[in-house]
Amino acid sequence: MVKRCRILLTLMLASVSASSFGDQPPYTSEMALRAIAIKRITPIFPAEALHAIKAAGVAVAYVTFSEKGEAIDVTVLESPHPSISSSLVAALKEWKIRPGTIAGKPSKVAGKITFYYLVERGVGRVANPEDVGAVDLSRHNGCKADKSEATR
Amino acid sequence: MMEKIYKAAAGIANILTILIACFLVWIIWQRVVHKNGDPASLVSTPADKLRPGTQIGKTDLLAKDRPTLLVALAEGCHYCAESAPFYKRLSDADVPAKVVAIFPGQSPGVSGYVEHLGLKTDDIATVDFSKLGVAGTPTLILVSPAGSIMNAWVGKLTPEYEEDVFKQLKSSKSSLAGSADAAAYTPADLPVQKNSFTYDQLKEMARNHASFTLLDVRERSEYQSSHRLNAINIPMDELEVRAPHELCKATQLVLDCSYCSLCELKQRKQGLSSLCTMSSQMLRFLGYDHIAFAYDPAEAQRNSELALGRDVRP
Repeated sequence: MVKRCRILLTLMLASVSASSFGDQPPYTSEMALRAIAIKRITPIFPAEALHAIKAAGVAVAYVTFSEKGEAIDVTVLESPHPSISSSLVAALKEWKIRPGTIAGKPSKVAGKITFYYLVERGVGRVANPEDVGAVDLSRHNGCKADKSEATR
Repeated sequence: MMEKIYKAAAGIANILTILIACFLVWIIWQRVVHKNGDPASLVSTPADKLRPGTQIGKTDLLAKDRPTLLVALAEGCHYCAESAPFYKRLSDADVPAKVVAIFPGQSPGVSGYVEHLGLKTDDIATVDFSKLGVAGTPTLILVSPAGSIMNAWVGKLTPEYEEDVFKQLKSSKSSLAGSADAAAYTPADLPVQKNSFTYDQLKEMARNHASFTLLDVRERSEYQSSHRLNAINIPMDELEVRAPHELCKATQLVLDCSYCSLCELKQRKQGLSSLCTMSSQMLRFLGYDHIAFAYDPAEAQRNSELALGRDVRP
């Protein structure tokens, strides 16, 4: 029994390592991904995140699309609040793009997708980058007062 | 007899388990420690081969006296068809480069297809795309006469990237003239000569209420592990989308990109672009003119020594 388990474990490890060596999907720029998107869902602004954002926040996720163009994996890279991460993942999982091809064969593609979470007069909204102008992220105040202090 | 076979099988299984466990540890080390989890870092993807400075093998296709623009196409590729107006503009512009259409396989109809796309070519060839590093069509690859990739563009290009292709094609011939010697680079081409600041200078500037934005363009994981106080992080590959919304064109931008002057020169000699160079090029492309670099003189000296291959151990 123990020997069988060992052999089974070996096979499992082998399959895991083989899958780890599978081709990574080609990285695609956000501009290109948005240009070929056929279903774009904008995340909702979670009420519990209102207090976490002064004027604006940015959220970025790394999305992998299947050969059919469906979002199959979403990893949040940056988010101002955990509830925003959840809303971001839920929305991006609904995204669909025109299927990518490599030398004529369907292929997975992956890239980053960005959203801005804006609070105006106590009301939150989520915007695609192309739908907003200058964004006042409280961390550096956009064009208003860019001051930095270079101390580690 | 059966017992011996079982023993042998168990022994082999044990060895395999150890080997695979080591292999998995190596994979995790590669992903987590060595490359900070960069999802594309484990294996060399075709796109990796298209980085500036990479040598391509198909030198018989290249012009000896000017750059060559390889246009990777495939019959039936709808992005190629959608790019036809751009190819027409490219053909009408009389670009200073040899234009070669390349296809992944032999087909009697390719010349008609290229003509249908409105692309005027000097040559049409069949190339193994995987060896060249072409991951999809259409792909444009600008190659120097020596076979070094100068730039590459993948997919249907946005109008901005189409302009970038024209710009690079126009500047490619003149840039080739000086590439053999670092001294040939004009001071304007050097990323850091005049507008660079040491971290001490930046501290002083902040004390004097000088207005500037310290922009860390390194990967998010590098920024999270260590960064300068008040530096904001927009990784280089996110600048295109985020900079227009988050950075002010009127404010002095100081890039924190682990700058090293001699490394820059060495990389440029090899036809490579560094993080600092690529970031500043992208920002200039987006209309930012006030760009400078932050550096630590001691670190820059150490990196420069390393770039020159000198032993810098204390």
